[in-house]
Amino acid sequence: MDSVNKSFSNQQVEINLLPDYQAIDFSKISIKKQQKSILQLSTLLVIFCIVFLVLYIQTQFIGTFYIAGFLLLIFILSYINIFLQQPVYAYAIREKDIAYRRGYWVTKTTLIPFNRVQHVSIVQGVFDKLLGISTLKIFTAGGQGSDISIPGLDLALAVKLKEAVAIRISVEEDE
Amino acid sequence: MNKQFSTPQRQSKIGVLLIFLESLFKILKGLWVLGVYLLVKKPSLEMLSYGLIGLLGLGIVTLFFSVLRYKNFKFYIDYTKEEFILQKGIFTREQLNIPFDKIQQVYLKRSLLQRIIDVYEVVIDTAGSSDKEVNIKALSAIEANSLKDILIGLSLESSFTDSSIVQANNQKVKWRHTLTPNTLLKLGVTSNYLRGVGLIFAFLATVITELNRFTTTNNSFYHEVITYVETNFTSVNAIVLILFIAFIFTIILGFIISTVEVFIKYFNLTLVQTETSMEVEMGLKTNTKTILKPRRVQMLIFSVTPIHKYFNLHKVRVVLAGSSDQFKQQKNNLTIPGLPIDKLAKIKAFLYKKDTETTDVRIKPHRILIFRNILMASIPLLIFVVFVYLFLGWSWPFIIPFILLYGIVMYFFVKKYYQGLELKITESFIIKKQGVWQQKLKIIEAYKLQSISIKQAIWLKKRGLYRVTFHTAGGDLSFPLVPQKALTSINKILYKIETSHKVWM
Repeated sequence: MDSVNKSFSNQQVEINLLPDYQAIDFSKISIKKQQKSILQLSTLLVIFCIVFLVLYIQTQFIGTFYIAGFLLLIFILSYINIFLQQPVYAYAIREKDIAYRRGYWVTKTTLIPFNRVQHVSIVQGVFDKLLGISTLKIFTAGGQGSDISIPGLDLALAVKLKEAVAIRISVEEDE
Repeated sequence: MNKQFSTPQRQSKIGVLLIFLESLFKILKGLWVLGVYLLVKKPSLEMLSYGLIGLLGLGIVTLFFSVLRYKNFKFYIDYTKEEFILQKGIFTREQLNIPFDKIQQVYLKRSLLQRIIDVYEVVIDTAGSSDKEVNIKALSAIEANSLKDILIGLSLESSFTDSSIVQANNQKVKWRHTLTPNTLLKLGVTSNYLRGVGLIFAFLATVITELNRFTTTNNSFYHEVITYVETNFTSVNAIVLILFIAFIFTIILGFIISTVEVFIKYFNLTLVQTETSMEVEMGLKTNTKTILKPRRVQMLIFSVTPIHKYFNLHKVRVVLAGSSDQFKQQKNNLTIPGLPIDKLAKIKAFLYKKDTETTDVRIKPHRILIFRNILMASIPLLIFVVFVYLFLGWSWPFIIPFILLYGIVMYFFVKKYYQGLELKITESFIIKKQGVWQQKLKIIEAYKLQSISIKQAIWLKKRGLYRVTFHTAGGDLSFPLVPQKALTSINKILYKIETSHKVWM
C-alpha cells in the first residue's frame, strides 16, 4: 500500500534514461518447438490423406482431387510458415516485467509487468512430453489478448522461469 | 453503532412468496410443452382432473421446498473475521464466505415481481471467479439499504488501510442529477436518426429495384411505368402520395420505438455523488442501482454527436473490471446518457482525482491510414456492385451514381476519421480521441494497465510503423500505425505501472 517508505526519494525521471523495451536482449526458444509443429502438422496431414482416400474410394468423385489439391497447398504453406515463425519466437525477463515476441507475418511483442501477473502455469501436451519441452502460460486480468503462452521451453527452464516470475509476483504482493 | 446483521438472519417473510412464485414459474415454463399437448389432444374430463390434481400436488411440493429454502437461507456479517457469510441449500448445505476486501460492488435491483410485493434484491459482486455473485432476493427497503451501505462501507475500509475514509452511513450528498422526462424525450428522438437513415435507405433501395424491373423488361421505360400505373392506380399522384405516407409512417414508428426504449432503460436515471462513492439508479422495468468505486473503473468513455452536443446531452460509459471472459457483457459497462457537460467534468473529477489536461505526447497515426481505409471501404462497394449487376440486373446508368456517391461520402468519412484520430499520453493517463460523427474520448489511467502489446505487420517494417494495444481489466484500447520514435512513451508507461503500488481493481 501507499505507506511512506523509509528511504523515500523522488528523483525526476528522464524519459530518455528509462530502460528501453526495444533494446531488450531476447532469448530464442528451443528448436524443438519447430519439430513439435512439424510433427503436429504431419499427423494432421496423414489423417487428411486417409480421409480423402476413403472418400474417393467410396464416391469415385473426381472433384475430391481438386479439394485435396487445394488443402495440400494450404499444408505446404503451413510447413513454410513453421520455418518462418521459429526464429521470431523469443522471450526476455527483466527485473520488473516479462516480454514475449512471436509471429512472422505480424510480429507481436507483449510486455507484462510482474505486478500485474495473476498466475503462472506450465502446460505439457503429448508432443511436448515426447520432445521434453513445455509451454509457460502467464495470465493477467486483461483477458485473452493480454495473456501470453511461451512454447518450446525445456521443462527445467520452464520451471525455473515460472519460479522466477512467481517470486517476483509475491515480492510485489508483500509490499 | 450497534453491529447490524451480526447474527444470522433470514430474508423478509414475504420472501417465501417470491421464492415460491419464482420456482413455480420455472416449473411451469418447463411444462408448457405438456400444456400444448393437452390443448391439442382435447383430453377427457377424467384426464383433465388428474392433471389438475397433479398440478396441485406439484404446487404443494414446490411450496414445501420454497419454505425450506427460505428457512435455510441465512446471511450475516462476521465483523471480527471481516467476512460476509451466506448459508443456503436444502439437501446440500452451502456456505459462502466473502471477505470484505473481495467485495467489488453492492447494488439493489428490482424485478416487476419484486416491485409488486415491495421487496428489494441485494446483489453482491465479488472479485475473482466470475460465478461468485450473491443475490439476496427479498429484503425490505430499509434492510436492503442498510445492508448495502454497511457492506460498501466495510469494503471501502478494508481496501484503504489508512482510515481516511469516513463511515459510509452518514455521507453528505455532494451533488445529485436526475434525467427529466423532457431530457429522455429529447434523447429518444435524437438517438433515432441512425435507424431513420437506415430506413430511408432501405425504402429507396426497394423503390429503385422496383423501377429497375421496368427498365430491364422493356426499353421504353416511361411508357411501361405509366401504363403500369394507369392500370393499377388512378394517377401518378396517387402512387406518390401512398409512397410518401408510407415513408412518413415508418419514420414516425422508428421514433416511437426508440423513445419507448429510452424510457424503459433510463427512466428516472439518478446520479448521486457522496464523499466516497457515486450511485447510479435507473430503469423502468428492472430498477438497478449501482455504486461506482473509482478504483474499479478501468476505462471512461465520453461520446457525443453534433446533435446531442447542441442539446447538451453527453454520454458517459464507465467500463468496470470484470473476469476475463465477460468483457462483452453489459454487466461491466454502465452507460449514462443525457448528461450536461459540467456533470461530465464532475464525474471525471470524482473518478480521477488528477487533472487529465497536461499533455506530454500527442501521437497521430501515419498518413497511409487514409489509403488503407479507402481500400478497406472499397470492398463492400465492390461486393455491392457485383451483386446488383449480376443478380438484380441493375444497369450501369443506375450503378454509376451509386459508386460516385459512395466514393465521395467515403472519402470525406475516411479523411475526417483520420483527422479525428489521436492518442494523447499524459503524466498519468492514456487518452484516445476518435470518431467522425460521434466523437469519442476514451480515458485510461496508466497504472491500471495490465499489459501492453506492440504489433507490426511485415509490410510495415520498412516504414517502422506499429499498432500499440493497451490491455486493461475492462477491455483493450488500440491505436494503429504509431511511428517508431513515439514508442519511447511505452517505456514511460511501463515505468508508471511498475512503480505503482495502488490497487488497480
